[in-house]
Amino acid sequence: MHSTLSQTRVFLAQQMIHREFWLQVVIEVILPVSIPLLVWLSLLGSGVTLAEFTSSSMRQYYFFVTIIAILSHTEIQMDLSRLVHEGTLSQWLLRPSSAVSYISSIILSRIVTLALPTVVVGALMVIFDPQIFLGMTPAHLIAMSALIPLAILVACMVNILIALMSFWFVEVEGIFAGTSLILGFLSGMVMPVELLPSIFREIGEWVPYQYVFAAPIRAIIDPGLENVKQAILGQLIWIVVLGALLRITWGAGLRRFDAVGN
Amino acid sequence: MSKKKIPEWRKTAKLLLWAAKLHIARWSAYRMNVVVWVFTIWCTIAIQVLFGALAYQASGENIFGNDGHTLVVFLGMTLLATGIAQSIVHGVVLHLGRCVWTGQFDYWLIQPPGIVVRLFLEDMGLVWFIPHIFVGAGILVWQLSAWLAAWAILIAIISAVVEIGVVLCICIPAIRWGRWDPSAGLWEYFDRARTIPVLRSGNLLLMIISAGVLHYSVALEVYKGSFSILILLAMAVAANVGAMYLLKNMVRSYSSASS
Repeated sequence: MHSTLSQTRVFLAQQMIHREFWLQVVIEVILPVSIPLLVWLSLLGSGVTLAEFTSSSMRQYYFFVTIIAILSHTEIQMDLSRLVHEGTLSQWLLRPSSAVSYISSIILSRIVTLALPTVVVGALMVIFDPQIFLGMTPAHLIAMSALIPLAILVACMVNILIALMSFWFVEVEGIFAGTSLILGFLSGMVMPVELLPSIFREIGEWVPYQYVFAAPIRAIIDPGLENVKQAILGQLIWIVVLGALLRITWGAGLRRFDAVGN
Repeated sequence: MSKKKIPEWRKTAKLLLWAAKLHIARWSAYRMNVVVWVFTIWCTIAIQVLFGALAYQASGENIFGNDGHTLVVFLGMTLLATGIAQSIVHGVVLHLGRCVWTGQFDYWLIQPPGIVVRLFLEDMGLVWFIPHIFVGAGILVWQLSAWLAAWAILIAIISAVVEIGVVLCICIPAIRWGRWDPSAGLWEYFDRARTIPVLRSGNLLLMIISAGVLHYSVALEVYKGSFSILILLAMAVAANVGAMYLLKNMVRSYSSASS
């Protein structure tokens, strides 16, 4: 634990050198999420009906999408694929500090870095749209504090799983981009799942990202016991499933790993 | 016997042709990556088209004053334009970044051909975005009469020039002074932002956030005859003059070591 925290501090210091990472978050996460929101708001403003959404609930929905999307933008797949392809993973397999600790520290340092844009987005919402927060009760806050970290954990596990494809493929960035795009679309990142055609909604029920965006956000906005219970249970099941898949893939990948890079 | 001098433009054309051949040969070696990326890019387009279709249906089949036919033409124009633009600029930015950061930019500056031609020779980025060009042009030819299709293609080509300028204006300073290549993120942003023409949405914030692709909305207005083509041409000139100015500054301030 101590070694993980020390490494996190080192990575955080490295991260601070590359401060453009924050601009990258704006271009890759905040702007793409804002565009559909503003399109829906323009339509709602002209009297269009969108399922049960009002302007206020739409803003609330996309606010939480933005927060989760920012915090899960750890880009761990790039670090992992570099480790495998450059062969530098071997040093983490030999050192007392394990590869798992190394990967965890990268993720933790990124999440700390990502806290800044998250706070900025939150502050902007408080200034320009305080109604989102005015109706919040302690139940909302408790639901948020449990569901958002679990959502980020599920997202990170999916990212690592895709990154482990580096043991088999030369370039995983394309695979990652395609997979996260499809999973995100099916689980409410581009638009609320309630607005999707039923075929996509049904498929979306079976993907892990359902418990990164749609289910937790539903439970945060409407923190009834049933909603929260269902979302947390789904997240925990996916964490177990993904954990098992990660273990199998990691073992199989290591057996293929030739430690010289490719 | 006097040796006939080969004109400069023919030398450049030969080099460009040779670069294209090498580029295709190189990407042929990475066929699987190309397939994965083309699939990913088309998934993005499919998702955005679906988003556009849902927004169009929800709006009562008239989104921001545009009917279905206009939106299909808009899709064709944006695909064609972004196909041309990204085919050129993607590789340029990718290689420029690598060269500047590793100090290899020296060779670009001291060896022929000139820097601008060299930019296009290094990596033409042709492969991933070639389908855009065919599909975009195909949509326009399928949906419009010959004259209108030619008009839309001309507008798309000018829009492509604007996109090249915009990408270079953002990427050159980021590469030189930020050690960061924002082209991948920009591609993602552009693809999400250019689904719906937003110029007549009446939402200022939406227009500001879509600023990077606002030229496509202007292009649609030019196609419909609401705006003069000179506005689009002025945007193309402004964006590329800006890009060349930034390139000039980058070359001047480049310190000949990996930076």
